[in-house]
Amino acid sequence: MSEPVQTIADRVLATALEATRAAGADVRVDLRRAASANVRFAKNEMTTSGESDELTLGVAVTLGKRQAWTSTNQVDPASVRAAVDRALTMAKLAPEDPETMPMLGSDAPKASPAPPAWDDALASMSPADRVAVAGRAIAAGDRENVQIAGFLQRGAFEHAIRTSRGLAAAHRETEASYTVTARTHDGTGSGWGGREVHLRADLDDLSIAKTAIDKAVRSAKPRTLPPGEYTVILEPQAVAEMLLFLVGAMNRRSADEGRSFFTGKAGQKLFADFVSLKSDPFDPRTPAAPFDDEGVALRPHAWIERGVAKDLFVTRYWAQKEGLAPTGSHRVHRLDGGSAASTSELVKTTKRGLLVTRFWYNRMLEPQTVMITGLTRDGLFLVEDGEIKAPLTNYRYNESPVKVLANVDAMTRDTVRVPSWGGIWHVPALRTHGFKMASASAAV
Amino acid sequence: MRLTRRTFVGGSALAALTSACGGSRTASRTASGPAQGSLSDRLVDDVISRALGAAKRGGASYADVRIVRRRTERIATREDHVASVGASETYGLGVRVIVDGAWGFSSSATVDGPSAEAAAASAVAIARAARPALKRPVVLAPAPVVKGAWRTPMEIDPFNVPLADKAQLLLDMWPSVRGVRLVKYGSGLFEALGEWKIFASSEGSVVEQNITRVWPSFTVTAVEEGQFETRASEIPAMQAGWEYVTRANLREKARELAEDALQKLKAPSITPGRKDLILAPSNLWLTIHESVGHPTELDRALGLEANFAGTSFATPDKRNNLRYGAEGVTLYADKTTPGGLATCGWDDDGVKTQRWDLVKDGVFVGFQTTRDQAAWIGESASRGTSYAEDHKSVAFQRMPNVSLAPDEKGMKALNDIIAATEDGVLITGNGSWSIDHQRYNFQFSGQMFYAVKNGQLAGALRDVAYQSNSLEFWRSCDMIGGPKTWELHGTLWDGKGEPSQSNAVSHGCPPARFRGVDILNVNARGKS
Repeated sequence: MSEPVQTIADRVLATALEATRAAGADVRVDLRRAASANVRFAKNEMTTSGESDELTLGVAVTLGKRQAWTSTNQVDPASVRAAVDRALTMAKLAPEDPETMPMLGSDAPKASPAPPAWDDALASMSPADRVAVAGRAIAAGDRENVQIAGFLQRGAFEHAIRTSRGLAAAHRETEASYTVTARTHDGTGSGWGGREVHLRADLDDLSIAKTAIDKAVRSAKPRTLPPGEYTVILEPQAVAEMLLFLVGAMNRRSADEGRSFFTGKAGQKLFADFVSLKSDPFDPRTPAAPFDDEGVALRPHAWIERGVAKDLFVTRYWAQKEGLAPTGSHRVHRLDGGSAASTSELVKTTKRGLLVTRFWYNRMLEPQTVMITGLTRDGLFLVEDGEIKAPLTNYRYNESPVKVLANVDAMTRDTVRVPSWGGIWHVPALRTHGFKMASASAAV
Repeated sequence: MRLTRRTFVGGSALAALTSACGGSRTASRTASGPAQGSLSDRLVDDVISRALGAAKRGGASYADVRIVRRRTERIATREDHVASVGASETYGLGVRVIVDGAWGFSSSATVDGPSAEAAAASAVAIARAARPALKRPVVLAPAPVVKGAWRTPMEIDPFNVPLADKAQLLLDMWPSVRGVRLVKYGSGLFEALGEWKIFASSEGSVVEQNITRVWPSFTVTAVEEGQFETRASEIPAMQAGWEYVTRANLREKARELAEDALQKLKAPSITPGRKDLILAPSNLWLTIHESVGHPTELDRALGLEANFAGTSFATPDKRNNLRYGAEGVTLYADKTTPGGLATCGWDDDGVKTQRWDLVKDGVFVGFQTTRDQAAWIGESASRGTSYAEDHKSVAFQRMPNVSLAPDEKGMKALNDIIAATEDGVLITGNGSWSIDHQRYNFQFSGQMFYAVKNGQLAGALRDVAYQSNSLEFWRSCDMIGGPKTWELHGTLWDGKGEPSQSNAVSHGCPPARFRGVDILNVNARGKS
């Protein structure tokens, strides 16, 4: 599979055009290559490791107001023809969808070139290199006498889109996600560290492992404080875990339909003055694909600007219906606007609060207020008079990212890219007030 | 040479294999034509033997090959039109090896001899590279050599039903719904998941399975003056054919959903506090999943999932001496319940599926294990819970169906439980769900909430969630419904592992009552 995905996409498009010409259908070919490799370790030794290198071909067919899609991992000529035929048959028989938008073509705005998001060194990381990362963490865990677990996954992704109307776009990126969890042998302490990078040189794996170990050791034999509302310093991982629910609610159609927190609130100042949330795949700090899955060319977008809910995600259909501009679907988000030098500075300027490493099992509790529930985990500390005074037992929280960003009074200037479940998140650490720790959790 | 689909060839070595097992694990044939993907001489000779041979030559003490075709279908509608119609398929092989005590895994989307050998060689190289960072070599518990075939019993293969028919079924619900006051939106969804797979091991096992699962659902939204409530359906995902969907009475149920949504929008907001909690099976199944299913996964209890979902309070030292629940509580695991989403003939280690207790008469007695884990708790055989979601994923321990046994002596109906309750809340359906990383503190909501006062239902409520701790919760269980009230619910999308994999799993239970549970009000709107 050494052919570039663009070449395969061109070949697939030719087959698709041939198969759909008679029906007068439009076709979009979406070809992705994911070369992924991982190592997993737990209890201070390797557990599983593996790799896969697969193509995924998506074929979307539009026939007037009818549409359908198929997806397959087989790209030999017969399988491609079968996938296209199947999508066409499904489209012919599907009921009409009046919201069907025409496929984009050569006349659509072309995606501008984005800064590189690919790193040969990361793409070519060998099994031995990957095991060495695990080995360093395991050795550090053994030395410090903690139980250590972690996961390194590196991916090299290529993506090409072609449509029967002449749209062509391509992008490639590398990504590695490394997370480590350390636990003390007495079972009272647990710590976590993690990062996501696109450059091999940015993966300081030993530092991540040491962060987890340090937090584990320092979180042993915790004190208990009662549930209640607290000032909290959220480290970047915790910030992203709540932020993604807020971004998920930022949908113009849902707001217009009366079933979103943002109903009636567009353009209002909902957050602290300095808060800014942007998507910009052209910022070299936050490179990402400059087009979305439909092929819409993305432009830098400000969702929150100086605390104002400036804009919501708008689909092509809703834009057309309501006379708005479509925003495209952005994968990368950056929350910033702060000026603090570091998390340490946030700690130093906190009279009393809780320092949170990360959250866990976060779920929407009440969408009308974007109320989320989840747990603290892997390093929760009491801060008093500018110092970390003691480790604490964990809580379940019930709180809204709206309130977090409304009550925030300090944020670090710099952001980090955190491991996540989808999308690319560049976030700072921040301090906010009135955060509701709802009930005690005995989990370590 | 590329493998093409061929119908099963009689008279081959494989025909001998499947008939040798007596056909006892072969369920009814579908009415709809040749199987998707089939076991043929070509597969055995070219692909499977070459993979296993290459692994052995590379120094593997054990190897297995899975050839998997995984299909999904997804149809979404909103109000009176289709929103999305699509289908996906992946096909390929995965090779797992043990070399010098270390696991290695690799896969290929190409199912032919050379790719099988290359995947085996790659898996061996990965295992060798991992060896220096391994402290305890992998040891597999013995398992009998198995041969046979298994398929989901069904009348109509959902993958053979035209997508237009499926879309129409969902669209037919909107007319029943739209007339209800304040109901503005309705979304329909149909998902089907099909797995055809062959498992073959260096020990001589060869099995073929064809598993089909379906899940229709519908959600209604009512909106009034800046407030909205949704009401989702409670039709369980099931290992079944299309006949399950057509018999599910979707249109009638959709009408009820719409009326429920309006009722919920108008209902009073709950007064929080400790109350007796009656959970219908459509809610309780998920609580079982989180507070019993996951904690009793042995690898989790021993720290192997620490970096992702965490660990468990149910550690091996607690087996046989921890009171997990009240005396009437028996929770069992199986991959054999008819219709269960995790039900099949053999797991992905080739171990025959079975049923066993996790909690017996309230005492914690059992774990879920795989061949490489059984010895960790001194068991001489695996419980058969290994699973990989597709060809390119490594098989590991996954949840079997985990169920609450009905009370055969009491034979209670839901109405009996309500009649015995003075101050409580009845909850049906699933809403929010969350549990901590050692499986103690959990918080769940639901779809519909009803006050129970002096033995009667006393009107709908809104903004309800319940929060408890697993052991406190199960110990407070004092009434369990009889066999006639037992229902099977589940999910297609249980996540575990790194990289994360999906598992389909069912949980059967009767309704049950739990005393003195903390009931929360999640309303932060400032409205009552």
